[in-house]
Parts: sequence; structure tokens; C-alpha cells
Amino acid sequence: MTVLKMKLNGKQVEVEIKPSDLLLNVLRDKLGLMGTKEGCGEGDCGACTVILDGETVTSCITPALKAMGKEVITIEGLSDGKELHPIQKAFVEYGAIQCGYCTPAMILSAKALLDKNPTPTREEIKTAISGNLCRCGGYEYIIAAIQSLIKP
Amino acid sequence: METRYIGKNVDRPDAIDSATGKLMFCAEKRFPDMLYAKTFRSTQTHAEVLEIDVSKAAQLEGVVAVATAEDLPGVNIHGIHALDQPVLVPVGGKVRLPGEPIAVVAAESIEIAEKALELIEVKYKPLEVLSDPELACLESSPQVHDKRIVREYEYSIGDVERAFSEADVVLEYTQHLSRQEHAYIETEAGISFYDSDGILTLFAPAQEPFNTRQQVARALAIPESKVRAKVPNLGGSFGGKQSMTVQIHTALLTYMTKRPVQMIWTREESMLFSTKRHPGRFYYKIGATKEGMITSMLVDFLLDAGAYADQTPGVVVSAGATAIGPYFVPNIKVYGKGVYTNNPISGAFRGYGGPQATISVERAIDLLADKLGIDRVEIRRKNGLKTGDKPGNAVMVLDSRVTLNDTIEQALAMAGPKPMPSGKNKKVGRGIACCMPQFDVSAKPYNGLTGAGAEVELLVDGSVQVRTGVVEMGSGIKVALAMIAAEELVLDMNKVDVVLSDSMLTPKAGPTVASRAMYCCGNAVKAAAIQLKDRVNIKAAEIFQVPKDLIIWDNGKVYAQGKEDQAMKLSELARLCYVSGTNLVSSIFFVGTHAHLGHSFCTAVADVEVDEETGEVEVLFLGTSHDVGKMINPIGVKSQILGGGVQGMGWALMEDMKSENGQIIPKNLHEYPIPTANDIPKRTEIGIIEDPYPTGPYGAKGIGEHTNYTSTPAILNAIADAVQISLDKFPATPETVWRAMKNRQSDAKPLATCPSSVLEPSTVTV
Amino acid sequence: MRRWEQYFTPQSLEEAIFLLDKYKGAGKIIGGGTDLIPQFRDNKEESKYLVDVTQIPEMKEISLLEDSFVIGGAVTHAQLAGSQDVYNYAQVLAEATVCVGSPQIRNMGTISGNIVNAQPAADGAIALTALDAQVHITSADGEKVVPITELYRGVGKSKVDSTIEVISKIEFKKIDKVQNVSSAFERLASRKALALPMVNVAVCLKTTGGQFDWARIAIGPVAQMPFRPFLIEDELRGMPTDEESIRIIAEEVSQLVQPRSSKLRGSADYRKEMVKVLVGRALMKAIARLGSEPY
Repeated sequence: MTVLKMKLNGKQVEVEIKPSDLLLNVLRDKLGLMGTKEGCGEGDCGACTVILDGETVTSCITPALKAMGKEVITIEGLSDGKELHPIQKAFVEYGAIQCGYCTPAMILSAKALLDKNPTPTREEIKTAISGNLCRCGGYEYIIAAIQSLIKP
Repeated sequence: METRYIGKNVDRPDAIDSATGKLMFCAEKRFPDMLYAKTFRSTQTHAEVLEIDVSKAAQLEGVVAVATAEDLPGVNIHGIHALDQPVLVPVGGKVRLPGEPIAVVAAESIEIAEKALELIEVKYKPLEVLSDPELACLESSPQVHDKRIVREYEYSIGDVERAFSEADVVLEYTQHLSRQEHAYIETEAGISFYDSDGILTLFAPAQEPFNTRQQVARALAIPESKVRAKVPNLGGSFGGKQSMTVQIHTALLTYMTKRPVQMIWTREESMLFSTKRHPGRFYYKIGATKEGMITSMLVDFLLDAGAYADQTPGVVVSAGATAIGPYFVPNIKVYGKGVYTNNPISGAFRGYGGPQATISVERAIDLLADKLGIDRVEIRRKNGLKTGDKPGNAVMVLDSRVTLNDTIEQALAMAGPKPMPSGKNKKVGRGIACCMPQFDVSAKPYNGLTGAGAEVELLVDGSVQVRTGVVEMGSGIKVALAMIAAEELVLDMNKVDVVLSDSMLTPKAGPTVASRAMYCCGNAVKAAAIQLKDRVNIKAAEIFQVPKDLIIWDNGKVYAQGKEDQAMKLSELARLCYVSGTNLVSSIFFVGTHAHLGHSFCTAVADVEVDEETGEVEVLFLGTSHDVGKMINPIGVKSQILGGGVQGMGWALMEDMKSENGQIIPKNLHEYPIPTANDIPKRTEIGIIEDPYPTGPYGAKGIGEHTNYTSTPAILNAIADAVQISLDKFPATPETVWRAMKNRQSDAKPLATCPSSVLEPSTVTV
Repeated sequence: MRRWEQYFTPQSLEEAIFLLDKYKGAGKIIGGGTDLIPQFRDNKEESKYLVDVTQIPEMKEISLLEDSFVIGGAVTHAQLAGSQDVYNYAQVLAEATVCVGSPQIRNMGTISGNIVNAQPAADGAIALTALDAQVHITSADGEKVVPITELYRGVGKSKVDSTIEVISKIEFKKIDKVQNVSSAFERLASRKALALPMVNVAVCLKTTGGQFDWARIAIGPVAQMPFRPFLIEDELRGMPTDEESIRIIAEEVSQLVQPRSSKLRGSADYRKEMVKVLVGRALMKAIARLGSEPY
């Protein structure tokens, strides 16, 4: 066993893990953050996406110790519990959510994009979410939700 | 009519949970003392099981139970339409496809359970494999079950032979259909445990909890009253999570260990053993006058059921009923069948055989138009169904005012002028496809559908709970039902809660399939809300000393007309009702009376650009026009339409769950591609035609499956239009298109392949 | 899923080498892990000690020198795809790395992993092959420099032994339009993200007065490793850079390659034909980039 120290959703956390644990399992099973989903276990679907030091990664194939000393943001870190984060609000309003299984990860991919590029083009938005598979909605309203956050 | 919520975009409360990561799926449940389950699966395709040895696995430290067929207290069989599938294949039994479960393990950790699987030994006697459905009926072929045909469909009206002999033009065409994977992002997962009353409780995927309850009880030989099945939110289903997956296995392990048991399928397991959309082929022979009026249609189709019946009996009927397309044809003969093979099990997939039929007939209609030298849109306008028609093998008279042509004109208007090619070696094409899906509006004894029950309860704090047995799998039914209750009871949305799909808490409402939930449950909830209000109004009339039709409900207050200043809080009224003996739970079991099925039209227009050198296809435009009756929650309706369109596009262009000798080839989500955000049409339009359907709730029709019918053939027709190829096989991958273009010079005629042997030789001219 | 026992994140190359040396073959280098972790999941990998090189500062740098690039072994696809220097002076590499997997995979996966994994379709390695990259490999015995084309033993089999050595950096000459040198990348896949290519082609070339000075063409996956048609590359020196010559070259390359049929990614005859199309397009694109008009 070893201790993973990281900044998680704005707070420093220390959690005892096995060196062979994957980040997804640490988040879900050790820290109870169930918003991060598993869809394939191989990095093919993006449902487990979290933000690691500003970059999206698929946590199902990320050794947990890659997060040592770094900052991790999961879906639970976006809202303060009172107000929805603007991206969350837009996803709800624009009908970008159907079954909701891909949604947390999709929102994080949108956040990583908008944090770096507040005025993305339609093509840049598509590429930014191209690693997040959605089978219900056909992406168009997800793109619309993200576009609604671009300030003119 | 001014409405409070109906017809307005309303945010889904469950979408807010999803956006914040709080929405719970089956894999999120955790219980103290929980065991983890894994399945030992057959690697053989078709084999007799000679010996099963689980002794080493059972002795592994941390393994709590290993179950084989011998441990099942009840009947070792399950199935949706026919009981032909073992829960666990026993010694002396047969495995009929790869991945079939032989044993299940419950252990203290997933790692231990996985290790235990490696210690299980099974001996098989391999049998000859049947992988070609065309050979399934030959005496010389290997036999998968006692019978070879799962289900046949036959329908005949008029005299097709005479009509063919009198026709100016006769076209023959055979369309081959590939196998599509549902590819929901959530794999199958479930958990079971005993509650404090000793009820075996399951949280597991399904499209109807009551079916799970029945099948688990039968396998465990316990009364259905001792089983509770709850379907939490599903991470997508599209028909794919209707059959038994993890349910009986986890329940059995809980039954044996008395501990909570969780099983989560890996993606590979899901692809290996979930049901698929039926592959197959449809042969068409169509006769028409030189003016383009279709006089006769002969259809012979074959669907590959795979190793078990599952939903094939229903899908065969549904495909047969859709096979003529949305056209009026006086002489019809349809024959179809679903056959057993050793291939992946085919089940329900959004449209239930309808998309397969629609692709085939819409390709054939294009080829007929070409043969006649008539415009491909014009031939559809001429033959499209209109109000009052009693279409061929469908079972209803068309009773709404919208016609096929209304959707054709709207779709074309949205499309606008055909785009220009973007460069050299690029060709642009436009395709159109039409359909008339039939959605369930009532009890249909012949395929096991039923009415829909719903309860609406007024609580003494003035809030309302709606309870019904349908499932939320992303379609937005939960918010739509809340909107209906809030509309009828003139309440704020946040005063209404909806509880779904729990066999212990919610009334039976039939399965969430066939675009039926909105129509059936919407009607049930509406009627239950009206009944409740009426009952409460009796008490209110007594209190206010006015006739009850003068009682006004207004946002949690109740008053007599004109006396708003003397309003009473709904909570207070509810309390008074309760203490004076008024039943505050109203219950309705809705059964439609006017027909078995409802119908609605849909037309898609697609523009594509084909790279003549590589065969790559880019979808430039996809527009679909929908006859929806009335939208309850417009954003939800349109979102479903978009999603269905892209699913259909995926099948048209890239999706093919290939198998070879019964073994599937794609085993994960990169080997089986579904569209990414980068692959969607450059431009998408949705056309909505609202004309309230007399019997629908507020006029609503079913809508969930419709774009799946039309987007695939519209795109295929557009590709064929761009580069003049046949596409009798798809998906239209770059290589498929390239090869078809290459063969175009040598064989310019549309391909017509051999019809099936079941037709009398005299009916077929090749 | 198989599991490793210990996970190290050394802060220097020396430390990484020390760890590999210490575990004598039971340790293994991990970069992004996008290929390695799925191999553990599929029980195909059983190293006990993983040595993560992505925290070593000097291995994460992209350096543009006077006439060459030095790319650290732990540089990610996303770094390369997003680098203005790479776009300006090694466009083929920028174009190739932006095609890899998905944004998440590009954020994690490293360029050296793309080489060591030894897949003949690897986009980054195809581009590096056209760039004639020199690969610096460090072990306890010191550093050696090997051309990328000499690092393959077969499909999925690299001569770089990650249990004892690590790709510390990759070096190649910059592609400078001012010197009439240009590059381009072309790719064909089943969809526009998260897809391995059916065929991919990278080219680098130099022209003088409407003639080829030289060209390097790299093609995947048509052989056990990224394929270079050396004979044809020799032949085209001095040929005019017009459409007709390019058509002939592309045809000859296509005749030369022997792709395999794949049930998932295309039949041999189709891939062979696509080699012709994509080689032609890549050459045309690279030449067009030397013109005054933006391509």
C-alpha cells in the first residue's frame, strides 16, 4: 500500500491505495466519487474522463500514481452544490443529456476546452469531445450547449 | 389552448443529477458485505458440455460461491418471447454460441472472482457450426434447436401474380442487412440482496421490471411476491437490455450466499453476449404501371435470430408489417421468417425489424423509380398513404390528418438546393426515405404487450407522487409524466415526483418499447390525475359550499371560482380529505380502445459527398420531418430525433458486428466504430408537424424510433445517387463504396440476387 | 487484469535507468500507458515494476535548434499537435499526431510509446519515419543513437527493450520551406476520431526548380513496420514535380507494397489502391505547400 496525495476538486486529499490501482477505481471505490463512469476499460469511450493538471485523461487506463502531487478535477468538483456550473446548466437547458451516462465526462471535456479556448469554433468543439462517445443524442445539442457559453 | 407545461421545453430533474454526477446507475450501488460476481463463459460456438469441474475454483480463498446449473432450484430456462435459453448450460446440455454462461462465481473481490474463473475446467464435444442463415432450413445443416424456424410471417391480399403479369414494369431487388450492436455506453450491471423483509431485491437493467421478477422467480422456484425488481436509470438501452443478462445470475448467488452480489459486464462481455439488431436479407418484387403507380409487391425476407429466439418472434411480425413501406399497394404477398443459427443472439433494437424492412423497401423504390424513369420523390408522392387508407398488412386505418406527403414536402423544404461538390473527385448525392412506424397504443395479446397502469398520489404536504412501471433509459419519459401531472393538477413542477420501474412500488405498465411509453403511460397518468382531482374536488365542494365544477386549483392553492381570497392550501385540503376518508391515491390502468397500433409518418432527406478515389462518404445534410401529433417536451422530442438519426447514420456508414463461424470479430469500441462527434452530419434539421392525435395524451404520438427507420436508407440512397452504385450490402464503408464503384463499369445493372426457396417457383422470375 | 506491484515516478533519466537496472528485466518503462495498461488488462503484460518517465523534466521538452528538432521521449501527442514550432517546421508530425486516438489519448500517450509499441500503423511513428528520425536510447550501458527504421523486429515487436532501456529523445532535421523542404500526412480510417488507420502516409521532400531533389515516403500499415520504398525514393530524384510524375510514383509505390487483408481495416487490394491515392495526395500536398499559396 502507498499513499496518493493529490489536489482533488480544490481540496488536498490523501488516500491509501495499492500501487497498481487505476485512477478510476480510486475515485469511485476509495473516494466514493461515482460521477466518473466506466464504459469500456480501454480508453475507447471516454466515459471515465477526468481533468488531470488541466488536460483530459481517460482514468480507466491511468495508473492512480500518475496523479501524485497533481490536480484532479472530476464532475463533482464543478458545482458548489448550490448553483450549477454554467456548462452543467447549458447541458440541461439545451437537451444535451439523454441517458446521462456519458454526460459527466462530456462536461469535463467541454470544460477543459473552454478553460483553454473560450471561443472555440464548431470544429474545435467537435474535436474536443471526439473522445467521448455518446450513443443517445447524436452530439448536436451537446455542441449547441457548448456554443451557448461562448461570449461574443 | 394555453398550457402550463405541455409543449414547452422543461429541464429534466434527472438531467441535472446526471450533469452533477449524482445520477445513480446499477454499477454505482454499493452495499456492506457485498460480493463480486463473474461469469465463466463458453469459448466454443456449438458444443455439447461433457464435464464441468468447479472444485478448484470453489476452494480458492475468497471465493464464497460457485454456481452451475445444478445449483438452480427452479427451471433452468429463460427467454422473452419463447423459453429456449438456459440460465447456465448444464452437463449434457449444449452451448449454442460463444460466451454462453456455464458457471458464475461470487467472491470477496473482482480479482479473486477473475482468478477463480481461470480454475474452472469444462470439457466439450464440438458440434458442427451453423453460421449461414440461408442454410438454416436445409436438412443437411447442423441443427441448433429441435426446430429450425423461430417464427414465420405470412400475409397476402389481392393477387400479386396477376398484378405482376399486368404491370408495365417489374423490379426485383435483394437487400442484405448487417448486424448492428446497440453499443450503449453503460454495460450490463446489476446488484441483488435480501431486504429486511426477506425479499430478494434486484437493481438491474431491463425495459420492464416485471419481466425480470417473473424470470428470476421461475429460475429460483420462489413466488414472484418474494422478488423485487427495480430498474434504476439505464445508461442507454435501445431495446438491448430487455433480455436477462446479469439478473438471474446475481439473484442465484445472493440466494446461495444470502449476501449482496454485484455483477458488472466488461465491454467485451457485453459485445460478446448482448443481443444485436437482426441481420438478414429482404427480397422484393414490385410491379408498377408506367405512370408509377405501384400495383403489387412481393416480399420474402429472412432474419438471422442467432442462437436463441429472444425477441425474434416479435421482430419477424414487426418487420413483416412494415415491409410494404408507407405506400398504398393493392396486391401484397409477404413471407418472412427468423431462423436459428450459432450466431450472436438477435433481439430488439430501436424499430424492432422496421428499420431492416424500411431500408430494403426504400432502396427498392429508388430502383423502381429509376427503372420507370420517374423522379424518386414523385413516385413516393404518388403512392404515399393518406388519411383513411387501410394500408396492406398494417392493422389500423389511418386516422390522423397528416399524410406521408406532408412530411416529404417539409423534409425537402429543409434540405434546400443540393450542395455543390467541394473538389475534384468528389460527387454529391441526395437521398430520400420514408416510413410509417406503428407505435403501440393498446393491449396487444398477440405479442404480449399490455395496457399501462399508473398511480397518482396527493400527499398531505401538498406534493404529488406519480408511480408507473415504465423505465427511464434517457428518453425523458420521467419529466414528461411529471409535466402531465403538474399540468392537470395545476402545480409547480417541483411539487411533482415520479417513481418508475419498481415491481414493488409501481403498477405494471408493460415494457418500455415500441415508442409506447408516452402514449400509454401519458394517457394513464393524465387520467389518474384527473380522477384524483375529481375526488378531492368532492371534498373541496363540501368545504366551499359550491358545485365541484366551480373549484379552481392554482399552484398549490384551491378556491371556489371568484373567491380567490378565501383560497385553501392544497396541503390543508389534502389533510382534510385524508382525515375524512378520501382515498388520495388514484389508479388507472389505461387500455386503448380504438385500435391496436397508432401510426406516424417520417421522411428523411440526406445529402452526401463521396470521394470517388477512396470511397469515403461525408454526410453533408440530414433532415427528418416527423408527424408527432403533439410534442409534450419539445427539447426531449428533438434530442431523441437527433440521436436516432446519428445511430442510423452509424449503421449506414460504419457499424457491422461481423461474425465468422459464430465468433464475433469486433470485440471493443474501437474495433466496432460508432459515430464520434467528428462524424456527425455537417448540417442537421428537424421538421415537426403537429396535429394532435385524437387519442394521444394532449395529442401526442410515439416518436422514439422513427429517425432510426429513415436516416439509414436516406443516406444509402444518397450515396447510390452520388456515384450510381447498388449498395445491396452495407455499411457503406470506404472500401464497400470503392468496390461497388469499381464493379460499376462491368455490371451497371442493379444487383438482383436469388430469392429464397420458400416461394413457389412460379412466383419468381429472376 | 494482471497487476504490477510497484510504480515509480523518477525525476531524472539517471534515476529511471537505475531502477531498470535494479530490477533486471522485471521492471518496465511506462509513458502515457495508453497501450501498456490495456495490455495488463488483457493479461498480456506481466512486468512487476513500472517506471514512469513522464515526470522527468528534460524528457518533456520540444526543442527547436538551428536546423533540427530534439523531442523528449515523454513528449505527448498533444504537445506535438499543439506546438507552433512543430507546425511550422515539421508539419507532417503535427498532422500525424493530431490524428492519434482521441484528445484524452493524445494528452496521455507519448511519441516514444508510439515507436516502442511497434505498430506499423502508428501515426506518429509513420511521420517520424518520413522525417528520418534518429532515436536516442539510454540504458545502464550508456546512450546509442539508432535510425527509427532500424528499431522494428516485427508487428508489435520493438528492438527497444523497455525492461532495460528507454527512448530519451528523438532528433530529426527541421522541415523548412525556405530551403524548399516540405512535408505532409494523409490518412484513411473508418471514422474521424478514435480509429486506427486503414492506410496512412507521411512524406518529406525537397524540390529545386520544379524537380525532386529527394523525397522520403513512409507508409503504414502495409508491412511489419513503417514502410519506406527506398528504390522509388532513389528513382524520383530529378523527376519533375508535376501531377503526371506523381501519379507514376504513386502507382509504383502501390505496386511495391504488400498489405495484408484485415477483417476490420480493409482488404489487401483496397489498401494497395489506397496507398496509391494517399501517396499521390501527400506528395501533391507537400509540393503545394512550397508554393506561394497556402495549402
